[in-house]
Amino acid sequence: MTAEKALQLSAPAFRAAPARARRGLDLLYLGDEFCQNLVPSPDDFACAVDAFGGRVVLVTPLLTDAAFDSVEEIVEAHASPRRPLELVVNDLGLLHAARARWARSVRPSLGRVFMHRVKVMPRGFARGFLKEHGVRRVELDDPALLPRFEGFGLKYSFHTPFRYLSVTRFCPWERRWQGPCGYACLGAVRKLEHPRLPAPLLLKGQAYGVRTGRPPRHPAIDRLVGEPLPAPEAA
Amino acid sequence: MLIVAGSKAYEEAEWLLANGAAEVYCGVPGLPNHRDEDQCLKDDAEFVRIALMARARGKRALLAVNEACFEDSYPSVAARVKAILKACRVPVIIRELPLLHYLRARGVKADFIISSLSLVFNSRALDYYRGLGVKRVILPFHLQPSEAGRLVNNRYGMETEAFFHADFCCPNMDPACRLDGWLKAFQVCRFPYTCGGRPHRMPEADVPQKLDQVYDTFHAGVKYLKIIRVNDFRDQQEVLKEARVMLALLEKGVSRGEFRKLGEKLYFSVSRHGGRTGG
Repeated sequence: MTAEKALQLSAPAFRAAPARARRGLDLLYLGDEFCQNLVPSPDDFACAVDAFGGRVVLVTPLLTDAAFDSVEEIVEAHASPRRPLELVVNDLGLLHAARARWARSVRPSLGRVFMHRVKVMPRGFARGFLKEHGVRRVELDDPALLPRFEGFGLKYSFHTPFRYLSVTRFCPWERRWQGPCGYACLGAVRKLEHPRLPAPLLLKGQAYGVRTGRPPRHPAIDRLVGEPLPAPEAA
Repeated sequence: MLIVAGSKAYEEAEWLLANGAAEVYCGVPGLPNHRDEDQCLKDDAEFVRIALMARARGKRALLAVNEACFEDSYPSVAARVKAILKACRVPVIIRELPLLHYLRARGVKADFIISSLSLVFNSRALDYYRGLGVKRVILPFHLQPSEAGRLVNNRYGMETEAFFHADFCCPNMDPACRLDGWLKAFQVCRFPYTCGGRPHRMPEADVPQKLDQVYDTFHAGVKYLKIIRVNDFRDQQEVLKEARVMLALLEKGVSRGEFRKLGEKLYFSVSRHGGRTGG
């Protein structure tokens, strides 16, 4: 089986990306799992759907009410039972709404932040929770987590080359709580080093993580999601 | 606002309740909570004594069950929580969805308080908790009061609680931060890193930003102000006094500018923030 190939871009990165960056892709992941300022506006999403021409997955982080409103507007405009919208979800409120309001028009995929909450649930509860909420796909960036969901009948989207380890809402780039954004993080990565770290920590957007290698081979990984990881800033 | 303070011992709880706290919250060893055992009470009996003492003063104790645990432990957790509630009816702070469902299915009747660690960032998440006996939600540390209007004024009448930001700041979002587990070390977020050859710390809010959060939390209409458990109780005593003075200023109606000015002096008078060492 050949895995689908996706590229994940934040809304402003998509606007800045040349058209050739989208060639050969099966899907576009638009948004961000860690910062709500990088999630597309309803206008952004509509433009991306037109420009990309293929399937566009809406990627969302934990959401404040204001950000939820914007996601809701996108779902209302672009999701229908005939053309369900794939939605990467990291927020309990959004997952609940996906089941309660959009069960036939949205296909939720469990995001990488939410996934770490589900992985500590008792297996029986986790399986029921995912089934009840219509989750058939999980976003993963760590192969060690594959056995945790074994037997659940899930498909996996595997993300490379950035494995998330931590996330903040105190913007490390603009040194303030989230609010109107200057997009200082766009196209930039910082490398943090310390003698005790086995590998440098990378700061990408609002997330800290490490660079990873090739995705593992696993029969349930049917989608590979790449994301640009620029070289870290020079001193 | 009413102050909710964490407590590690009966004597601490007694002092906190006598000095301005309306509620104390405590963990007990073996019941999953977000602190190591050295920040818990000795046993369940000590919690019950605290709860009864608090009730005699017209105040309350809250039982913290705000951590994940293995499924094997669920029956014993439910039995112990039930026994505690039989001795003293108290609200239970809970984090994990499966444990909340389990406790309810086992007939644990309590007013539940959703932990900040449950990451309730919007009012729609409350739709999930509706009908599960939830009476209060503790706002996640990284959610700003300016973003929480609809959560605070939610349609279910759930109360809200927020951290006293002038005490501390976590650079990253607990529990979405896995750095400590990754490195098997403590407070990896506070390591002295280098970035491009220069010293680098993971950024966190500065003092004016922390004071703004206190100011905005008060004006957002959040009902409870949370002061966390710390190792050195003298620190917590100072922080409680600091919080009370700040609340008195806010109740007097000081402007944001005045609050920042006076609040900064108060902030640096606390040992934990450099007052004792002057650093």
